Amino acid sequence: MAELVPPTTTPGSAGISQILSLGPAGKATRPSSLTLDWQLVTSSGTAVVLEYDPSTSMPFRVYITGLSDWAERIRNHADIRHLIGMVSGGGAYMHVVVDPEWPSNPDDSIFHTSRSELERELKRLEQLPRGWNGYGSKQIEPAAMGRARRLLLALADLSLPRPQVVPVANGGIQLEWRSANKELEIQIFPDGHAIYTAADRGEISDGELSPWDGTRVRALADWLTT
Amino acid sequence: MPWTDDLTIGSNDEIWRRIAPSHVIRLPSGDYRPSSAAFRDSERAVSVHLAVLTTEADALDGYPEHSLAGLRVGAPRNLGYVINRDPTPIDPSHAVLLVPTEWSDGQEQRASRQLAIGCWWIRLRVPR
Repeated sequence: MAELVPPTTTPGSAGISQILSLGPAGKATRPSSLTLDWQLVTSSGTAVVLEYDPSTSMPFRVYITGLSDWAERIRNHADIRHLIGMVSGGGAYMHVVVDPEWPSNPDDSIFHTSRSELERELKRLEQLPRGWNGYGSKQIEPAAMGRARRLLLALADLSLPRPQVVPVANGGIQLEWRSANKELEIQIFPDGHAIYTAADRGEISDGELSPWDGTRVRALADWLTT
Repeated sequence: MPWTDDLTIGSNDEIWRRIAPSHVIRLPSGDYRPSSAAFRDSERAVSVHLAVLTTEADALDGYPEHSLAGLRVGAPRNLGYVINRDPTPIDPSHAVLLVPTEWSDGQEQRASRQLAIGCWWIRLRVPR
């Protein structure tokens, strides 16, 4: 078996947490410890799947994300296990880079039914000119847009109401959910980092939302819906 | 140098802030409120207008789809903001709420949410 060649790593990008290694056909293995030698991150900072041609050890297909393309692939492949099965069954050798914010089953979600509407909203934000708020606001940054899309996908298989998606003057994006008593705001900054504020009547908590920590996103979703 | 609060602006004085259509949020109750994002600007200073020095029409001039929200100066002051006059040739009412430099992003988010909750509509234009 030819040796795999690490793809180019983009420093400073986010979104990679775990690598699943696949051996030859049908021998999928999950390494016991995390390895970050095989990072490849797109400009949108989202998950990437590489398939390698074992005869040349060169990647012959790269799945780059972007919401519509990403969603399409998830819809086609259902989940990572299905994807692994498909590729390993074909005899290819591949590495799968898994983002913790990758939803396991977006087709069951509210997001699935309103995805095009959310995407329209994101596109609308993307097209806002400088000064859209009348006070020198900036255009929305691509890194913020990418993180917003990933977060929305991460929440896709949870029973959440549709969020309100609003621009932030610094070039970021804010996602907001409200129920009768609770409010959840996730502010995504221009560089893609995110914080949350969760308010239950007078009680407020907040914190960072690391792209490596998918469990926090799910905990917030649970909190909002209980 | 730390910013100094302009105490010639009274805590009962009213300030206004234009609210972009995308920041007008419909609550589960059916009422409308600004998003907390409406009270954050690109720098750590939030533009406002001293109501006594302007009119509703002037504050919204050139912004046919924006709404206008009002606050007493005491509200941001009690949260820790500092207010300074910042008149411009075309807007003598312009002032800024300065975000304390020591605040974390989370603190600013919380404070902006308090402003959004505590304000009232001078003019609400429900977004289409």
